Amino acid sequence: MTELGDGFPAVLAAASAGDPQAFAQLWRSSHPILIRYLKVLCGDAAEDIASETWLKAMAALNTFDGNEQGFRGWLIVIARNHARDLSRRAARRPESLSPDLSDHAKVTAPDAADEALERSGTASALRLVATLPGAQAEMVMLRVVVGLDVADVARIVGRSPGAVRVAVHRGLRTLATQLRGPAISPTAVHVTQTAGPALNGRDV
Amino acid sequence: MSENPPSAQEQPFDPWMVERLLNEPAMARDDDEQALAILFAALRAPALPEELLRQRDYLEAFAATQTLRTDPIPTRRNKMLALLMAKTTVAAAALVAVAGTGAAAYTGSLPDGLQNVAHHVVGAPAVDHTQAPNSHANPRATDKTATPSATGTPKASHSSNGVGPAYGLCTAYRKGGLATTSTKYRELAKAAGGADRISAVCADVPHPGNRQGTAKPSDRPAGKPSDKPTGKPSDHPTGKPSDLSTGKPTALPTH
Repeated sequence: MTELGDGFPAVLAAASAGDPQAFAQLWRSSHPILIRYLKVLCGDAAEDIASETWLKAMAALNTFDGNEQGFRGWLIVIARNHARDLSRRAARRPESLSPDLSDHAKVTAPDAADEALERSGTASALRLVATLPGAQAEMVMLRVVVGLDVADVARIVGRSPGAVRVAVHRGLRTLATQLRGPAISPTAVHVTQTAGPALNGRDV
Repeated sequence: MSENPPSAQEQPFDPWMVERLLNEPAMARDDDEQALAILFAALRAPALPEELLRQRDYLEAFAATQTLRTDPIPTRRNKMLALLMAKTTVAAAALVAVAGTGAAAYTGSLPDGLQNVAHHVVGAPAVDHTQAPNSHANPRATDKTATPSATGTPKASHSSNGVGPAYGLCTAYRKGGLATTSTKYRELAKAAGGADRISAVCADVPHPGNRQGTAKPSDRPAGKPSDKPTGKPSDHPTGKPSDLSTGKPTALPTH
């Protein structure tokens, strides 16, 4: 993942002042992380939720104060709240046939970008993580992809740091078992390591 | 009798495994960790072109956000429209929208009911019941012999065209007659979206006499201001000077 590193404060300040180039840098460094997190949690609703998240972030950009990890955590919190609101709204609609966001994702036709993403190893890896129980999948994504430490993850998901450590550990062990299971050979894993399109041989 | 190998969940707990695999994937201790290191690499791969396809859309949205940020009244109005559904509120919002700068609401020139709604929703001043509620109940405003001021400006009235008070405030501002510490100045600045925008906003506030089709006969004096008033200047105006008007009445119009 691209990180702005030491340049983050200056980029944030410029974006807060309305500089579109600075905002583009912020977006390019954080959007892929956000969209991957949302794809695991919300499936094809990810793009819509990401759009809402960025709109809210744009409006409140000058209120954010923190480092790059903090900024990503901030985006995640906005996205998480919006996803939760959507889920509650869907659950309140009696006529809804798909009150769950993931169910909604299943009936949504994939667009060209999704199809292209499907051909990458990243998409397969995301789908593999999505097979975990929801809380585990989220915590694995926050630790591994967003790059938050245990304390930050605990704050976001409302669990204790110890509970986060255990859940992430369990989730990763499950993933390791699946990766090394009979459906995927060590050779296939090795190929994905060198060629990039990881885990394509595994139907998750 | 052989025992089954421990399940994944029974593996020794390693609180530093994630950090170790993220920072040094080559240091995987066993096959499980090696598989996870590969998984991590796929999950954290650089941005894919497909993930950045919509950059232009987001930049356009960012530009739009910046425009709204520098124009707070429409922002407030949009939020209001989105959040509130009552018909009266929407009507008030629409009226504020028609006024363009929101000056009508902020100068208190809306009809009382809508002014109250605007007061609660957008923070415009409440109806001031100490003043004449409308032009029909104000003998001075309906007097067709209303006095043009010395500058030729029709007397600012608390009338229904929604422009007079704003025009009056702007005239006072332009002529330096509005102290920056006054309530009216703050209202004007608020309506304009900032003190630095007052000049720009006031430039767009039309002269009350130029609003064709909306001015009533009672809004305008019947006579033309003459270059040379025929009457003597009065030392004591008969009417109470309005806060919003700029000049003292000095002469009666000639018919």
